[in-house]
Amino acid sequence: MRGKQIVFAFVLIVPVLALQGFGLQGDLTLYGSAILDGGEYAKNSAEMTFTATERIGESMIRTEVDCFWSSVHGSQPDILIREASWKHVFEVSESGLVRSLTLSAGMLRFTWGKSDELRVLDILNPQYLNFVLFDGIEERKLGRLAFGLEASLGDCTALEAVVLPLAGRTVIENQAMMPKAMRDLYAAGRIWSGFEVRETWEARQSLDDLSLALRWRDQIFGVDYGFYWYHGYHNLPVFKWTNVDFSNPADPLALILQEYRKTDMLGIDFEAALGSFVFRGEVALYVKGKTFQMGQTAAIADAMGGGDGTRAKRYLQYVIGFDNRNFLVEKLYLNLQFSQNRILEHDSVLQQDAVETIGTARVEYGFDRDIVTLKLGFGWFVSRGWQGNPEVSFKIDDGVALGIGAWLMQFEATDPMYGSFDKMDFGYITMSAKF
Amino acid sequence: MKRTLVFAAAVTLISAGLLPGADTLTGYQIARKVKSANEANTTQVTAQLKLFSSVSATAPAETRSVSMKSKKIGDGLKKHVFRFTDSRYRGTTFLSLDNAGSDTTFYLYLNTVGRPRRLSSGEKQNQFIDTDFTNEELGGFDLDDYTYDRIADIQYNGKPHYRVWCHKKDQSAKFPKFLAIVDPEKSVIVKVSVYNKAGRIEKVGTFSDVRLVGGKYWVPFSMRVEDKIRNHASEIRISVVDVDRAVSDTYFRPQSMNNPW
Repeated sequence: MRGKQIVFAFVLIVPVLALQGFGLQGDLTLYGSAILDGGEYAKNSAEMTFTATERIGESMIRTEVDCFWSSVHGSQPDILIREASWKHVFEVSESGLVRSLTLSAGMLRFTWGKSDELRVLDILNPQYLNFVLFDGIEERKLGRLAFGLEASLGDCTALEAVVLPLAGRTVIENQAMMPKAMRDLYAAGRIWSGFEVRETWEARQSLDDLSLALRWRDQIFGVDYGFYWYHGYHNLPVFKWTNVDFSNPADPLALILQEYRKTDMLGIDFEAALGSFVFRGEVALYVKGKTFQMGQTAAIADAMGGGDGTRAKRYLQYVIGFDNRNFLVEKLYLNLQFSQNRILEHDSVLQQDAVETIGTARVEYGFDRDIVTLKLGFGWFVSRGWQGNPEVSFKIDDGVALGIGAWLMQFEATDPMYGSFDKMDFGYITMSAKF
Repeated sequence: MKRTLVFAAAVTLISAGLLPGADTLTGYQIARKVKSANEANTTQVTAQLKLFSSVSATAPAETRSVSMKSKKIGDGLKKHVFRFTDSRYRGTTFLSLDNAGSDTTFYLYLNTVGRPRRLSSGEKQNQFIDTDFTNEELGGFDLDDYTYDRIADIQYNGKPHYRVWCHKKDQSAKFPKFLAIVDPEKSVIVKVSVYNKAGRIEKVGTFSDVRLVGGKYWVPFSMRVEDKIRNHASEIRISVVDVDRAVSDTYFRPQSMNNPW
């Protein structure tokens, strides 16, 4: 399927390159790191992103492809299709109910939700999770085959419908940075010959199994808000236990299928400026189909009894936060967010706690014309641990920037989610150039 | 704020000739003229933004290409969008939507964020990215944010010009006042001196090379702002202006801020 996606990207990009006046831009990013405190390894990479764009009248084509070598990736070198899209705007009227209709098709990239570091609604696109805790969400997103129609009813008002024929395929193959419980499954597969974790994402899926999405966005009393509905494949897989036989503990049998499941999600978000603060928030409620892993012992027992080691639960996630660009002193940027994940009617056999609470903070200050910028990001995973990311960045010239920083983390080694990141403190240097 | 007036006037091609009896105009009437007289129904501008590392530097430290579009939506009201088209900031897009009777709404699109972000009204006088221009100067100012006092005319470039003090109503503003010098014939601000809270001139804007575009709009093709305290300057040099040609509304929608131009 990846081969088809590449072909698809080139089918879109070649006409763009053939057009007079097309835009072709590149970003080169070099990333080098060194472990500060034990751990397995961090990341060293060289990445070139090519972006080709063209606009002819109201038709727009955009293709963005990453070509890279990376120590956190399985095969070298490789490519990722971030986007390969076509859009066309049909102007309907200047003052009628519907101002314009926008058709879009291709490997599209969506941005759902209005929060910053934590975005609970942004689940349409598959993600590149091989460097999961350290890449921002926009860096992680991969294009997903989709067809969209948006009716614009004003500058800030629109209704958008999207059809997504295939499940997105999230890249999560770097075992060093997987959630610990997931990494343990792969480790078991290396120890026991009859224990296997298998990816089941299928290239050919039934077209009668579409994912559908609707979004309404508007502004009222100066508040931007949106309503969301999604019926379709979640962008993260679950692990389904099958063929389980632990009658011989020395050589147990299990086939664990990594599969994507359909969920029904309702959402709402808002963004409002109040004085010198901008407040943002979003809520996602999974009313159906969201499944959670059981702990390993419970999963085995469940699978032995005919289950699959998972439980479907209703799930609530919300984020609220604010930012201020002149906090206390001019140009000091502060962003604070508070988030909770709540499994409704929680079951004690589940790996995930009934309530997870996360707080994030980001502080930045740019000296002079941001020639030197100090940044500090911090995430507090209540009762589980924390991570901090101090960085100083330098603007070498208009196209080149240098960043030097560190990721510092403290988690319980046994934590099923973040245990993999305990003792993985590392320093890094990154250089980016645009042309 | 005065500078805001000037910049907005320049960038959006405001202003036109004054009416007979202009000498009796009040400060508010002059400000209103500057904001609306030269405003075309639509404007599309291609320009170079130059950043100078010192006020006295003759060669820019950085040069970026920018593109701007604006559309008139009412008397003194407009939609305006500004985009860097090259450099490390390429794709960074700034949108302002004037609202009758309420604050202008600002959005900023950054590639790293992936969606338009609202800016607070408190950020109007923040620097736009790393330039010496403020968000308000690039996006346009609300006439009602200020009070205006006309003072004695002066000779500027050998001709009489109006002078208007513009006082920000918001007492906590970073730049509480500015003095604008206005060309009475073209209704274009030619110079502003922007004062900080300490009462010192922090920035000086000069607007020159004023040309008639489309046969009826006076546009300064050069806009330079000098930061007298930090000793650096920014300059926008317009290369192409196209007025009164149809511009799609899709350029001015927050959800379209990442579309190719």
